[in-house]
Amino acid sequence: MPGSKVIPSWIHFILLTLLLVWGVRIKDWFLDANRDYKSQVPNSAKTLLLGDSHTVKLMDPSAWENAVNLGMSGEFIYYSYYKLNRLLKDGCRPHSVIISLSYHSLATFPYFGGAEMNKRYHLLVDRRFYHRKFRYEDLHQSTLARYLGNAIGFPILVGQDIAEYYKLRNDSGTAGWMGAYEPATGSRIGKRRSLKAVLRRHFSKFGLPTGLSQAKLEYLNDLARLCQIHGIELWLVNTPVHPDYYKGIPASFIKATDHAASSLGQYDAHYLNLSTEPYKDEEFYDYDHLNAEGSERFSKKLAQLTGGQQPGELGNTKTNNTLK
Amino acid sequence: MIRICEGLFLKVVLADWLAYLIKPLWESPSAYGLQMRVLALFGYSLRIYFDFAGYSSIAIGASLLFGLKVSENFNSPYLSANITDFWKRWHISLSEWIRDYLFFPLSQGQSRRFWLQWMVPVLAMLICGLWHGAAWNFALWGLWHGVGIAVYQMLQRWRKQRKLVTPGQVHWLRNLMGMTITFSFVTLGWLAFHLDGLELALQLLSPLTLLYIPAMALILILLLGGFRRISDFALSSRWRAIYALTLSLMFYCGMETGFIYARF
Repeated sequence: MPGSKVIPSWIHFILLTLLLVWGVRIKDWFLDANRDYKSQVPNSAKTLLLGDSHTVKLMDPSAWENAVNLGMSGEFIYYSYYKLNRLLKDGCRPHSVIISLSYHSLATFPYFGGAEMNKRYHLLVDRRFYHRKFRYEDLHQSTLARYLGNAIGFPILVGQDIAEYYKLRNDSGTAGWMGAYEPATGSRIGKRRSLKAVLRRHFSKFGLPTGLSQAKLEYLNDLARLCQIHGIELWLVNTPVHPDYYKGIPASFIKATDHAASSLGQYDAHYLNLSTEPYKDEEFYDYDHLNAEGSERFSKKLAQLTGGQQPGELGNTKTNNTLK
Repeated sequence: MIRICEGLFLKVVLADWLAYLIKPLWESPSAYGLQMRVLALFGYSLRIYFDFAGYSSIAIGASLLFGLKVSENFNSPYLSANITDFWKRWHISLSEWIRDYLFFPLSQGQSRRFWLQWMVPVLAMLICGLWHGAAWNFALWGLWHGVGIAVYQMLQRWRKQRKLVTPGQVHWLRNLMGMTITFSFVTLGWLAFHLDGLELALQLLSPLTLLYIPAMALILILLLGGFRRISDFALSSRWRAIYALTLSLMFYCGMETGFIYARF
């Protein structure tokens, strides 16, 4: 063992053990304090917009009556499930929940922002999340560190819990998982390399074709069941993509995702497949997201379809399970 | 690996936590009292040191992994007894370059000309400031240090002429006073380095600041000096690395601040 100048090694071992024990205690304390934080979503919100970047960029909450956009880029379906669970526990009673469900949403593609997501959502998830991740997905060191930290109470990353605590207790502080509507400006359509890159990222894993994630499918079911139990109308929305992007999606993904989403009809969930809705090139930000111009038109249409539009904008409302 | 662990601790624990804690103070200094504004200033002073020293330590450690020995870049600069001493301990690689390629060539034959004695350090430090970026705030920061060095050197010459400088060890109280003045001076200089420094500087305009700044500098010098002594006396470098790694894993702040000096 490494020698010491003055203090014998056994004292160092005791000091390190005390440090770890103390770390466990303060981690538990700050975790509990952070879990007491009440989300800042008004309980009067009728519609909650959840999901990944498609919700963040495409769903303007002002198109609905009393809607809140809580989308977060890179938010997979399991995070949306835990987010909704938390909001319901905090007293939120929405009439409907709208979640973006694109063709790559259920894929097992490697997401390199996983560590960031684990950091944002670790206060919401439970042991089941880690068990499913370990069972069905690749073991990521940040997931393992969070599991050790949260489930076993090992004092890894206790500093982040302290940082989260101070951020939430600050007047302007909001939880890392809250999200917001952030429309994109401009257009990147026309760059062929970006199309190829995004298709490769969404539908292959390290260059090999991939399939649907079992963990995400199970959470999609859990989410639909949760909404049914609480009497919430669930809308799964496959948002518009550029025709060139659509052509590049493997047929197996289209079939499997449509089947998985449509089968949730057993829980009274609706699946709106708007992926092939016609939009001009200028209305796309990139190949799978609309820009601010496109999102304005899309949000109005989606609000009409889901029946939650602003009172002044009542029009034809269509509520078929699949519109395509 | 030992240097990398130490650098990680300085960066992801000390520097990032300080950045996190002082952020609201720098964003709206008027919302806080004078003591808190002084804390914000010293917090930034320490943050920039821990950030850069951590960065340098990681670089030295990483170089050693490839068999390259890189010279030290810091030597407890905030424990310097005067501003010249500070520049021998802070960003050593840059200050040595400035000394060898700017200061010494410009100083040739300057002893007889009074104005040159003033101008050389000011000009050298102005260039040092502009090395950080072509912006008025870096120029101002360089000027601040240049004027500081020039004043100190003039004072030393005057003391030598009057035979006030006695050879041998300096009394500890004088040393401590020198450290306090130097740390306060350097810390005030960071106001020009930070983009929001002007706002904080205006908020610090109070007679009480003259009391709070040296008091805070003295407290921090005692803490830093005490910590250095204990660490040098009681811990071997390996145990230091074990503690640094354990604390980094536990108290990693998770703030994406980047390295301040990576920009330069």
